[in-house]
Amino acid sequence: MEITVIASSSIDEGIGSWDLKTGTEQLQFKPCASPAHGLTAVGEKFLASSQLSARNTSGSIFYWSWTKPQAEVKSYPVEPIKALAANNEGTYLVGGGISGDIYLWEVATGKLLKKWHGHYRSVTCLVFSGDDSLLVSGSQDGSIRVWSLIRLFDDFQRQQGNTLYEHNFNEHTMSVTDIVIDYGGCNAVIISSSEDRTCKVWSLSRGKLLKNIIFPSVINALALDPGGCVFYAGARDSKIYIGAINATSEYGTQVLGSVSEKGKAITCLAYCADGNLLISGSEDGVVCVWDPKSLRHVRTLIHAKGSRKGPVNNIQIVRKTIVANSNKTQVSWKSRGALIPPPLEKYERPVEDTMDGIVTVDPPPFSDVPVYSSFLSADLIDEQVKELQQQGSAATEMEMERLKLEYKRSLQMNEQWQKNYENLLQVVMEEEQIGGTN
Amino acid sequence: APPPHSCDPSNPTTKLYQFCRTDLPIGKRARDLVSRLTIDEKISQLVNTAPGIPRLGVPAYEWWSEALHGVAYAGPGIRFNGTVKAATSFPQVILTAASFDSYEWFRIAQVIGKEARGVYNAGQANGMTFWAPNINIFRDPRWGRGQETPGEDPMMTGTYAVAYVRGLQGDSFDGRKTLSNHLQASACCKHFTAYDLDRWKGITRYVFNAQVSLADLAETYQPPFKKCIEEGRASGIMCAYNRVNGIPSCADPNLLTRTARGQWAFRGYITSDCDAVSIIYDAQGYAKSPEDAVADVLKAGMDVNCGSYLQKHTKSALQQKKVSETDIDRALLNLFSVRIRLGLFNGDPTKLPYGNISPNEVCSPAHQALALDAARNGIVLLKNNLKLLPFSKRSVSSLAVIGPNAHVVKTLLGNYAGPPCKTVTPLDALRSYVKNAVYHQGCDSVACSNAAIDQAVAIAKNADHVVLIMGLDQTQEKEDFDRVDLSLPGKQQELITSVANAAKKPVVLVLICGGPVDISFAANNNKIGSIIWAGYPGEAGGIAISEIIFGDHNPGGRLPVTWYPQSFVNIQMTDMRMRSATGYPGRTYKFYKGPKVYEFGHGLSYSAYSYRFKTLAETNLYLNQSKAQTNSDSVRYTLVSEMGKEGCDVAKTKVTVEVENQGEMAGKHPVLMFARHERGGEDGKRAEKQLVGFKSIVLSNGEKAEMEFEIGLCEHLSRANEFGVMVLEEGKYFLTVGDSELPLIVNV
Repeated sequence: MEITVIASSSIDEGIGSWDLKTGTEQLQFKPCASPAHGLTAVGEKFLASSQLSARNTSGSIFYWSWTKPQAEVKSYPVEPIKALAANNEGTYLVGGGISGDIYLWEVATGKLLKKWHGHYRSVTCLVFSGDDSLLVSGSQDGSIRVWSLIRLFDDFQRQQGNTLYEHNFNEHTMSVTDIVIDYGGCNAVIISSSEDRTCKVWSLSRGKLLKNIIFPSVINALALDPGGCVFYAGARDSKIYIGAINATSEYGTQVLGSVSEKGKAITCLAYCADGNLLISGSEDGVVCVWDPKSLRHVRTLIHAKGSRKGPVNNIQIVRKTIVANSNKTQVSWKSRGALIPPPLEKYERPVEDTMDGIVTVDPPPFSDVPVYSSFLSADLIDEQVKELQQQGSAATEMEMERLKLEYKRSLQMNEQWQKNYENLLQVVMEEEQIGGTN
Repeated sequence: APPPHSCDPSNPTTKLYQFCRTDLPIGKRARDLVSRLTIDEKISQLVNTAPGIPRLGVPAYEWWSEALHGVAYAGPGIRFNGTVKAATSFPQVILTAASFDSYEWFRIAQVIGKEARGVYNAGQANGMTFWAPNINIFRDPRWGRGQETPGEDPMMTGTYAVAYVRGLQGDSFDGRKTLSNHLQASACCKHFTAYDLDRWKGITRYVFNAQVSLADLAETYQPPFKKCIEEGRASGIMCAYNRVNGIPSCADPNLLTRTARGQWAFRGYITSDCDAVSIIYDAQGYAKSPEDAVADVLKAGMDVNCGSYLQKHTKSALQQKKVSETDIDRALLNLFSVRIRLGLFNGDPTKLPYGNISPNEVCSPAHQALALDAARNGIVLLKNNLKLLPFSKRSVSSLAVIGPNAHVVKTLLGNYAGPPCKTVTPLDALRSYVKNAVYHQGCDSVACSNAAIDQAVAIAKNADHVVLIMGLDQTQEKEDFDRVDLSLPGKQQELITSVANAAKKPVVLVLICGGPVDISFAANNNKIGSIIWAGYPGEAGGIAISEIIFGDHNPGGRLPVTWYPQSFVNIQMTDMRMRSATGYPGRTYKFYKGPKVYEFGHGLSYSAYSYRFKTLAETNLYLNQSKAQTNSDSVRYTLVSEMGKEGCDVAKTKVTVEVENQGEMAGKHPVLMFARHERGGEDGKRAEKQLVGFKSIVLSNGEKAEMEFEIGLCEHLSRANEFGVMVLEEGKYFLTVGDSELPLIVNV
């Protein structure tokens, strides 16, 4: 397992990447001028980033493979995309536009599955829940909305005039700057930060505000301790504050540290659970690694060609599986054709196509995640079906019928996935034999 | 103890009353309540300070509260001598409007409505009806209350009204919530209608007879109220003091009943301005007796009197058969319906929607952050020669801060203010950047009868940079007081010029004022390098001003009103005409043909923005109207009413503009789109141009974005003909954003 830190800027300096354990610089991916929350790894396969509109171009999303420094695929959505996020397995990509619209694409085909008007203003953050069943979006308009990826495709609900979102959190008075979700499943909490100098803790199951924490400065970025009791808040005053989710005080004043006494604003944070390290990026282009236990600054990641001038506005932690024989890996990928999926489509296809199509799930190769982890979604659907059976309304029954249908499709998807996996295994075994022969 | 309310469940008689049943429609509940009242009880409820009716468990109610730009002192409904001692003081409306950001307007109103509930839940409010917003057109730059309004453009004023009303009442920004049964607070659009003179050369608002043409009424004065009622769904409107074409507004059944309640489907209460009913008899002589005045206003459709006149004279009017009990009942139905919609007849308010809003939310840090943001986004950079601003924090070794508005908190607030949560003067804020900043008041007061010019000059000579903070205050422009001049008062100009001439470098002039001032002398003086207009920027205004001066914020505000030169004072303030005519230059950017100091929409930035229409070809629109007519100019036109709702819904087009930030700083930038007819600007007819849309966008340095505007021909391109009928004319129109133009050809 190799852990890579990637960082990008709003100025076109490319995406920097470093080995977190050694600090060694790896490839730099160009060209990239990203908005905040506009950089994501799609599974372990490739990098994706939305691009700030440079001269003579409109909005775009670029893909890079891990092995090539140049953007390999360029997509041109109908409007500039700000926030960009992939689900954990990298099967879906979701983008938030400046108009407040949200776009959901299928990665393997580039198909635009759904576009909807999520907010009044630009979408600033997008986060998937741990089980990938929910999407949380934050906006410049101060609202945070929780969307069920299952219910998004429920045309019946939309015809009934019901709101698409599961929850609407409207307590921030200014732009939402970051959102993190913990791993509590149905009891997960969301923590959000805003230009209104507060962080708020929300219950995902109850749809309620649990806690409001006031900070001395605008909070730009959040990171969550996996233990779930503490979060870190990077502020405009260059400090990293420590917030306790269960604190009695409503003021957050405990400080992990500052990059320097005259430092610039902290713009992004990421937490690496392996090794328990916190990584911060700031407006002066500095990327720092911290040990939050000892409140110590461990290392600064430096661009080899000199100090980075542009502000860092995205940091991501990516785990990559190390394959024993890299040559064989490359050979096997070539034999499978395209390494990176096609560009993202501008428009939704007609509803009939979408409903009839079977979504193909591309399995992550050599993942340390168990092969059968996809059944989590089926389990979740099953749980939801049970919950719905206990309720009784007509609309609920419609929902239940739709869920049962979805459940069947999910089973079909799993079968398809199983076949794909077996085919892949076959290919790998054949490659092994060929390698052995040589 | 819970705040005053009715229908407490612990009271056994509650179950007997239909008006306490939340499952019944509002109207039915209100009718039940009214039917239980004696005639004396009914009459007692027709005034703003309505007494309680203890036998029915109805507490006293105060209709008059104010929340124009924050929960305010004015009005007896609110007091600040309890748990809540202050409320967030947002910028005066004229500055908030300069942001051209309707979502921010909505957010501000939402916070105000929430704080109002917080004050109520603290037991410090006797009513939840607020007499705001002021959506009269800022027609004349001398008007003392122009500061309270969103400016001179009717479309923008209407948009402000909608955003404010929805935010305050608890609606969503797009107005899709079903609000009818649970208002957060009640908004009241004022002053209906054509009210924009207070006291000018002895002429007062109480007796002023506004002679308004049918065209101006239809095109300028009425549209904001129409929008407020139809789109904003305000639960209150206030009729104005003045007469319009001879008829007092509060006594005009055409205005209140046929137009507001009839055509626009207004659902709420109509209040008079304070003592307006007595004025109809006492000062205007329109009514021949007090009883006639009572009859006139009640029959016209007014519901509640600010004052005590209806309490005193309605009984005798009833006895003289000039009013009927039915007239009184209609008023009471409207009044109690609003109170029921506020949740005041649903039992313990702490258990109802909004009951969880704590007094702690008043003045919360999040609300104060919004007040600062509103000030930042509204402040307008009028002039910035040779990029004098922003100052570098490192290179300013010393600073002189001079002027009567530099170190006064109260001036920053504007009128209709409440006690602010924080007090930071511009001097305080500038000293957080330059600790040893030297201060001199310069003038004895804003009136500046005496100026210590020599001392100010001596200070300026020794300073690296000079910031002058001048302008007006509430002694120069306010309710019941209009200016007669457009120049800076007293010796302010003299002080500014002397200091500028003596200073080492060009000086920065900051103007704190609501109405425009003639600062041609400063605009043309190279020693005055930068000019900032800060309106009355609210409690956080001092901070916003200093942040802009030192580059922590990139200014993006744009003027919501035309700035006229001093020669404009030759025009009678009483002349209500908008359109120009021989010997008359017209008013507002739409019609005015004289010289300007600054134009509507003017505002600079530390970034340069460029615009380009993405729709390249000429656009042709065909309406295929079989009933097209030709007017006296030989221009074909169609009536908007002939097109109807379906026709108007179809007659729309979308236009996309590409906006680019070519500067080095990120900025928030309002984009304004205007339309002008090829024959625009003809005397007495068409506007030079008119605003058809505005949107605000945040762009990083080097960033480009596309903005889509929807142009509705009926809504945006129509004009009023001489009979006050809206017509859509054939011809070539030009859509403009900055210097970019797009032709649009309309064929009827």
